[in-house]
Amino acid sequence: MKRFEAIKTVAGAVKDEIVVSNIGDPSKELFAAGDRKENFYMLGSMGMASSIGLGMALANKRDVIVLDGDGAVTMNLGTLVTIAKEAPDNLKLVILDNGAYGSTGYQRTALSSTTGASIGAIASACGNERVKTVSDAASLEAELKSAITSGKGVIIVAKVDTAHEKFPFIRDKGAAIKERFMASVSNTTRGLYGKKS
Amino acid sequence: MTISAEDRIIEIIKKSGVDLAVTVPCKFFSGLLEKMEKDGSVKVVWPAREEEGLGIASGYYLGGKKGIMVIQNSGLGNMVNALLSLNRYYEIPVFIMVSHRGGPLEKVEAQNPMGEITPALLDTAGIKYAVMEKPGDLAVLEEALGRFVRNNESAVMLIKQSFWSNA
Repeated sequence: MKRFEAIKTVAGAVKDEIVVSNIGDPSKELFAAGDRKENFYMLGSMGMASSIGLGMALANKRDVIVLDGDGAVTMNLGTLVTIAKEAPDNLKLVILDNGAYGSTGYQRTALSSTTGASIGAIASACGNERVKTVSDAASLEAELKSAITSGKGVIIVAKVDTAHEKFPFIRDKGAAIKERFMASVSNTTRGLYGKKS
Repeated sequence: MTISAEDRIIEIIKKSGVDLAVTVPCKFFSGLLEKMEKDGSVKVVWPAREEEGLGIASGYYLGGKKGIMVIQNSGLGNMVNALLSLNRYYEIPVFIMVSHRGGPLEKVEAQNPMGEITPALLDTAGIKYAVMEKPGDLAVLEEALGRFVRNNESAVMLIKQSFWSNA
Protein backbone atom coordinates (compact mmCIF):
# COMPACT_ATOMS: atom_id res chain seq x y z
CA MET A 1 0.00 0.00 0.00
CA LYS A 2 1.00 3.63 -0.36
CA ARG A 3 2.01 5.47 2.78
CA PHE A 4 -0.84 7.93 2.24
CA GLU A 5 -3.27 5.03 2.18
CA ALA A 6 -1.91 3.83 5.53
CA ILE A 7 -2.15 7.32 7.01
CA LYS A 8 -5.67 7.80 5.66
CA THR A 9 -6.64 4.49 7.24
CA VAL A 10 -5.41 5.63 10.65
CA ALA A 11 -6.98 9.08 10.24
CA GLY A 12 -10.29 7.43 9.34
CA ALA A 13 -10.22 5.11 12.36
CA VAL A 14 -9.64 7.68 15.13
CA LYS A 15 -12.17 9.27 17.46
CA ASP A 16 -10.59 11.13 20.39
CA GLU A 17 -7.15 9.53 20.15
CA ILE A 18 -3.96 11.56 20.06
CA VAL A 19 -1.99 11.21 16.81
CA VAL A 20 1.68 12.21 16.58
CA SER A 21 3.26 12.34 13.13
CA ASN A 22 6.88 12.12 12.04
CA ILE A 23 8.72 15.01 10.36
CA GLY A 24 8.29 15.57 6.63
CA ASP A 25 5.87 13.72 4.39
CA PRO A 26 4.00 11.77 7.12
CA SER A 27 3.00 15.05 8.81
CA LYS A 28 1.96 16.60 5.49
CA GLU A 29 -0.05 13.50 4.62
CA LEU A 30 -1.75 13.35 8.02
CA PHE A 31 -2.71 17.00 7.67
CA ALA A 32 -4.09 16.31 4.18
CA ALA A 33 -5.94 13.19 5.37
CA GLY A 34 -7.81 15.24 7.97
CA ASP A 35 -6.52 18.02 10.19
CA ARG A 36 -7.79 17.78 13.76
CA LYS A 37 -6.96 19.29 17.12
CA GLU A 38 -5.69 16.05 18.60
CA ASN A 39 -2.96 15.78 15.94
CA PHE A 40 0.54 16.81 16.93
CA TYR A 41 2.61 17.43 13.81
CA MET A 42 6.28 17.03 14.68
CA LEU A 43 7.95 19.19 12.06
CA GLY A 44 11.54 18.99 13.35
CA SER A 45 13.60 16.71 15.62
CA MET A 46 13.68 13.59 13.44
CA GLY A 47 13.56 10.44 15.52
CA MET A 48 11.64 11.96 18.42
CA ALA A 49 8.05 11.09 17.45
CA SER A 50 7.94 7.76 19.31
CA SER A 51 9.55 9.32 22.41
CA ILE A 52 7.08 12.21 22.38
CA GLY A 53 4.28 9.66 22.04
CA LEU A 54 5.64 7.69 24.99
CA GLY A 55 5.73 10.82 27.15
CA MET A 56 2.16 11.71 26.11
CA ALA A 57 0.96 8.19 26.91
CA LEU A 58 2.47 8.44 30.40
CA ALA A 59 0.88 11.86 31.03
CA ASN A 60 -2.51 11.38 29.40
CA LYS A 61 -5.20 8.68 29.58
CA ARG A 62 -6.03 8.86 25.89
CA ASP A 63 -4.75 6.41 23.37
CA VAL A 64 -1.70 7.80 21.59
CA ILE A 65 -1.04 6.72 18.02
CA VAL A 66 2.41 7.56 16.63
CA LEU A 67 2.99 7.60 12.88
CA ASP A 68 6.73 7.07 12.67
CA GLY A 69 9.08 5.89 9.94
CA ASP A 70 11.64 3.10 9.69
CA GLY A 71 14.47 5.60 9.15
CA ALA A 72 13.41 7.73 12.11
CA VAL A 73 13.03 4.76 14.45
CA THR A 74 16.45 3.47 13.40
CA MET A 75 17.85 6.89 14.27
CA ASN A 76 16.39 6.56 17.80
CA LEU A 77 16.59 2.78 18.17
CA GLY A 78 16.84 2.98 21.97
CA THR A 79 13.19 4.06 21.96
CA LEU A 80 12.17 0.44 21.32
CA VAL A 81 13.90 -0.61 24.56
CA THR A 82 12.35 2.20 26.60
CA ILE A 83 8.88 1.52 25.19
CA ALA A 84 9.28 -2.18 26.03
CA LYS A 85 10.21 -1.29 29.61
CA GLU A 86 7.48 1.30 30.20
CA ALA A 87 4.91 -0.50 28.03
CA PRO A 88 1.98 1.89 28.47
CA ASP A 89 -1.27 0.23 27.36
CA ASN A 90 -2.35 3.38 25.54
CA LEU A 91 0.67 3.70 23.21
CA LYS A 92 0.17 2.45 19.65
CA LEU A 93 3.33 2.91 17.59
CA VAL A 94 2.83 2.57 13.84
CA ILE A 95 6.11 2.34 11.94
CA LEU A 96 5.54 3.18 8.29
CA ASP A 97 8.25 1.02 6.75
CA ASN A 98 9.17 1.94 3.19
CA GLY A 99 12.84 1.11 3.65
CA ALA A 100 13.79 4.65 2.67
CA TYR A 101 14.31 8.20 3.85
CA GLY A 102 11.21 9.35 2.00
CA SER A 103 11.23 13.04 2.78
CA THR A 104 14.80 13.53 1.60
CA GLY A 105 14.48 11.80 -1.74
CA TYR A 106 13.91 8.11 -1.00
CA GLN A 107 17.48 7.11 -0.26
CA ARG A 108 17.44 3.53 1.04
CA THR A 109 17.87 3.11 4.79
CA ALA A 110 20.76 0.91 5.92
CA LEU A 111 18.28 -1.37 7.66
CA SER A 112 16.43 -2.06 4.41
CA SER A 113 19.70 -2.73 2.62
CA THR A 114 20.85 -5.24 5.23
CA THR A 115 20.06 -8.87 4.59
CA GLY A 116 17.61 -10.27 7.10
CA ALA A 117 17.21 -7.13 9.21
CA SER A 118 13.70 -6.29 10.32
CA ILE A 119 12.48 -3.42 12.47
CA GLY A 120 9.67 -5.64 13.76
CA ALA A 121 12.14 -8.35 14.81
CA ILE A 122 14.24 -5.73 16.58
CA ALA A 123 11.15 -4.42 18.40
CA SER A 124 10.28 -7.96 19.52
CA ALA A 125 13.86 -8.70 20.58
CA CYS A 126 13.74 -5.59 22.78
CA GLY A 127 10.90 -7.19 24.71
CA ASN A 128 7.87 -5.54 23.17
CA GLU A 129 5.12 -8.12 23.58
CA ARG A 130 2.73 -7.16 20.83
CA VAL A 131 4.42 -6.49 17.50
CA LYS A 132 2.42 -6.88 14.30
CA THR A 133 3.43 -6.56 10.67
CA VAL A 134 0.83 -5.58 8.07
CA SER A 135 0.99 -4.79 4.39
CA ASP A 136 -2.55 -3.75 3.49
CA ALA A 137 -4.97 -1.13 4.77
CA ALA A 138 -7.59 -3.59 6.07
CA SER A 139 -5.03 -5.41 8.24
CA LEU A 140 -3.63 -2.13 9.54
CA GLU A 141 -7.09 -0.97 10.55
CA ALA A 142 -7.89 -4.34 12.14
CA GLU A 143 -4.67 -4.44 14.21
CA LEU A 144 -5.03 -0.84 15.33
CA LYS A 145 -8.68 -1.24 16.33
CA SER A 146 -7.91 -4.53 18.08
CA ALA A 147 -5.18 -2.86 20.17
CA ILE A 148 -7.49 0.05 21.00
CA THR A 149 -10.52 -2.02 21.98
CA SER A 150 -8.47 -4.52 23.99
CA GLY A 151 -6.55 -1.73 25.74
CA LYS A 152 -3.14 -3.09 24.75
CA GLY A 153 0.03 -1.35 23.71
CA VAL A 154 1.16 -2.30 20.22
CA ILE A 155 3.87 -1.74 17.65
CA ILE A 156 2.56 -2.14 14.11
CA VAL A 157 5.07 -2.27 11.28
CA ALA A 158 3.11 -1.15 8.23
CA LYS A 159 4.90 -2.10 5.03
CA VAL A 160 4.37 0.70 2.53
CA ASP A 161 5.86 1.30 -0.88
CA THR A 162 7.79 4.31 -2.02
CA ALA A 163 5.07 5.51 -4.39
CA HIS A 164 3.89 8.92 -3.20
CA GLU A 165 2.20 12.13 -4.16
CA LYS A 166 3.17 15.67 -3.24
CA PHE A 167 1.34 17.40 -0.43
CA PRO A 168 1.71 21.01 0.71
CA PHE A 169 3.78 22.13 3.68
CA ILE A 170 1.99 22.74 6.96
CA ARG A 171 2.00 26.50 7.45
CA ASP A 172 0.86 26.58 11.08
CA LYS A 173 3.51 27.75 13.53
CA GLY A 174 4.90 25.45 16.23
CA ALA A 175 3.42 27.33 19.18
CA ALA A 176 -0.03 27.37 17.53
CA ILE A 177 0.09 23.63 16.82
CA LYS A 178 1.14 23.00 20.42
CA GLU A 179 -1.48 25.20 22.03
CA ARG A 180 -4.35 23.83 19.98
CA PHE A 181 -3.18 20.30 20.70
CA MET A 182 -2.74 20.79 24.45
CA ALA A 183 -6.11 22.47 24.87
CA SER A 184 -7.82 19.56 23.12
CA VAL A 185 -6.36 16.85 25.39
CA SER A 186 -6.20 18.68 28.73
CA ASN A 187 -9.41 17.07 30.01
CA THR A 188 -7.82 13.60 30.09
CA THR A 189 -4.54 14.35 31.88
CA ARG A 190 -3.57 11.72 34.45
CA GLY A 191 -3.37 12.47 38.18
CA LEU A 192 -0.15 12.62 40.17
CA TYR A 193 2.07 9.55 39.86
CA GLY A 194 1.92 7.33 42.92
CA LYS A 195 -1.56 8.55 43.88
CA LYS A 196 -4.91 7.18 42.85
CA SER A 197 -6.54 9.50 40.32
CA MET B 1 20.22 13.94 62.21
CA THR B 2 21.07 16.06 59.21
CA ILE B 3 19.00 15.70 56.06
CA SER B 4 21.07 14.80 53.00
CA ALA B 5 21.17 17.00 49.90
CA GLU B 6 19.52 14.16 47.98
CA ASP B 7 16.58 14.07 50.39
CA ARG B 8 16.19 17.82 50.21
CA ILE B 9 16.20 17.74 46.40
CA ILE B 10 13.50 15.06 46.43
CA GLU B 11 11.40 17.16 48.82
CA ILE B 12 11.79 20.20 46.54
CA ILE B 13 10.72 18.18 43.50
CA LYS B 14 7.74 16.61 45.29
CA LYS B 15 6.60 19.96 46.62
CA SER B 16 6.74 21.46 43.12
CA GLY B 17 4.18 18.99 41.77
CA VAL B 18 6.59 17.46 39.26
CA ASP B 19 6.13 13.68 39.20
CA LEU B 20 8.45 12.45 36.45
CA ALA B 21 12.24 12.39 36.20
CA VAL B 22 13.77 11.24 32.93
CA THR B 23 17.36 10.26 33.47
CA VAL B 24 20.53 9.05 31.87
CA PRO B 25 22.63 8.81 35.00
CA CYS B 26 25.82 10.41 36.21
CA LYS B 27 27.68 8.88 39.16
CA PHE B 28 27.02 12.08 41.12
CA PHE B 29 23.28 11.39 40.82
CA SER B 30 23.46 7.74 41.89
CA GLY B 31 22.26 8.45 45.45
CA LEU B 32 19.54 10.82 44.28
CA LEU B 33 18.15 8.39 41.71
CA GLU B 34 18.19 5.48 44.14
CA LYS B 35 16.33 7.48 46.77
CA MET B 36 13.89 8.82 44.20
CA GLU B 37 12.95 5.33 43.04
CA LYS B 38 12.62 4.16 46.64
CA ASP B 39 10.46 7.16 47.55
CA GLY B 40 8.06 6.32 44.71
CA SER B 41 6.29 9.64 44.32
CA VAL B 42 8.33 10.63 41.27
CA LYS B 43 8.35 8.20 38.36
CA VAL B 44 11.85 7.61 37.03
CA VAL B 45 12.20 6.78 33.33
CA TRP B 46 15.51 5.57 31.88
CA PRO B 47 15.91 6.29 28.15
CA ALA B 48 18.90 5.04 26.21
CA ARG B 49 20.10 8.52 25.28
CA GLU B 50 19.43 12.06 26.40
CA GLU B 51 17.78 13.24 23.18
CA GLU B 52 15.29 10.41 23.51
CA GLY B 53 14.72 11.49 27.11
CA LEU B 54 14.04 15.03 26.01
CA GLY B 55 11.40 13.68 23.63
CA ILE B 56 9.76 11.81 26.52
CA ALA B 57 9.83 14.83 28.85
CA SER B 58 8.45 17.03 26.05
CA GLY B 59 5.66 14.55 25.31
CA TYR B 60 4.84 14.49 29.02
CA TYR B 61 4.41 18.26 28.93
CA LEU B 62 2.28 18.10 25.77
CA GLY B 63 0.13 15.46 27.46
CA GLY B 64 -0.58 17.90 30.27
CA LYS B 65 1.99 17.11 32.99
CA LYS B 66 5.43 18.28 34.00
CA GLY B 67 8.60 16.24 34.27
CA ILE B 68 12.26 17.07 34.66
CA MET B 69 15.47 15.60 33.31
CA VAL B 70 18.43 14.45 35.39
CA ILE B 71 21.54 14.00 33.23
CA GLN B 72 25.24 14.65 32.84
CA ASN B 73 26.45 17.63 30.82
CA SER B 74 27.75 15.26 28.11
CA GLY B 75 24.07 14.54 27.44
CA LEU B 76 23.36 18.17 26.63
CA GLY B 77 25.58 17.65 23.60
CA ASN B 78 23.44 14.67 22.61
CA MET B 79 20.23 16.71 22.55
CA VAL B 80 21.10 20.05 20.98
CA ASN B 81 19.01 19.60 17.84
CA ALA B 82 15.87 18.59 19.73
CA LEU B 83 16.34 21.45 22.21
CA LEU B 84 15.98 23.80 19.23
CA SER B 85 13.82 22.11 16.59
CA LEU B 86 11.43 20.68 19.19
CA ASN B 87 11.56 22.70 22.43
CA ARG B 88 12.42 26.10 21.01
CA TYR B 89 10.24 25.78 17.92
CA TYR B 90 7.13 24.62 19.78
CA GLU B 91 7.90 26.60 22.95
CA ILE B 92 7.94 23.45 25.08
CA PRO B 93 9.61 24.20 28.43
CA VAL B 94 12.24 21.88 29.92
CA PHE B 95 13.87 21.69 33.32
CA ILE B 96 17.19 19.88 33.33
CA MET B 97 19.34 19.05 36.35
CA VAL B 98 22.83 18.61 34.98
CA SER B 99 25.85 17.14 36.66
CA HIS B 100 28.48 19.52 35.34
CA ARG B 101 31.66 17.52 34.94
CA GLY B 102 35.14 18.87 34.34
CA GLY B 103 37.03 21.47 36.31
CA PRO B 104 39.49 21.34 39.20
CA LEU B 105 37.88 18.39 41.02
CA GLU B 106 37.47 16.25 37.90
CA LYS B 107 39.26 12.90 37.93
CA VAL B 108 38.29 11.87 34.38
CA GLU B 109 40.26 14.03 31.97
CA ALA B 110 38.01 13.23 29.01
CA GLN B 111 35.20 15.10 30.79
CA ASN B 112 37.02 18.41 30.52
CA PRO B 113 36.46 19.44 26.87
CA MET B 114 32.66 19.16 27.03
CA GLY B 115 32.65 20.53 30.57
CA GLU B 116 34.51 23.64 29.48
CA ILE B 117 32.16 24.58 26.64
CA THR B 118 28.90 23.69 28.43
CA PRO B 119 28.01 27.22 29.63
CA ALA B 120 28.85 28.69 26.20
CA LEU B 121 26.78 25.98 24.51
CA LEU B 122 23.76 26.93 26.62
CA ASP B 123 24.36 30.62 25.93
CA THR B 124 24.46 29.92 22.19
CA ALA B 125 21.27 27.88 22.41
CA GLY B 126 19.61 30.67 24.38
CA ILE B 127 18.85 28.44 27.37
CA LYS B 128 18.98 29.98 30.85
CA TYR B 129 21.09 28.22 33.41
CA ALA B 130 22.00 28.58 37.07
CA VAL B 131 25.00 27.17 38.89
CA MET B 132 24.80 25.09 42.05
CA GLU B 133 28.16 24.78 43.79
CA LYS B 134 27.32 24.72 47.49
CA PRO B 135 24.47 23.31 49.59
CA GLY B 136 22.87 26.74 50.03
CA ASP B 137 22.22 26.77 46.29
CA LEU B 138 19.27 24.41 46.82
CA ALA B 139 17.26 27.62 47.17
CA VAL B 140 18.21 28.42 43.56
CA LEU B 141 16.91 25.01 42.49
CA GLU B 142 13.64 25.51 44.35
CA GLU B 143 13.07 28.92 42.84
CA ALA B 144 13.89 27.87 39.26
CA LEU B 145 11.73 24.75 39.55
CA GLY B 146 8.86 26.87 40.81
CA ARG B 147 9.15 29.14 37.78
CA PHE B 148 9.19 26.10 35.50
CA VAL B 149 6.01 24.69 37.05
CA ARG B 150 4.10 27.97 37.39
CA ASN B 151 5.33 30.01 34.42
CA ASN B 152 6.65 27.38 31.97
CA GLU B 153 10.16 28.84 32.19
CA SER B 154 12.90 26.50 31.00
CA ALA B 155 16.07 26.19 33.05
CA VAL B 156 19.22 24.15 33.32
CA MET B 157 20.80 23.69 36.74
CA LEU B 158 24.55 23.15 36.39
CA ILE B 159 25.48 21.18 39.50
CA LYS B 160 29.21 21.28 40.20
CA GLN B 161 31.15 18.53 41.91
CA SER B 162 31.77 20.97 44.78
CA PHE B 163 28.02 20.91 45.53
CA TRP B 164 28.24 17.24 46.44
CA SER B 165 31.61 17.41 48.21
CA ASN B 166 30.30 20.20 50.44
CA ALA B 167 26.86 18.69 50.94
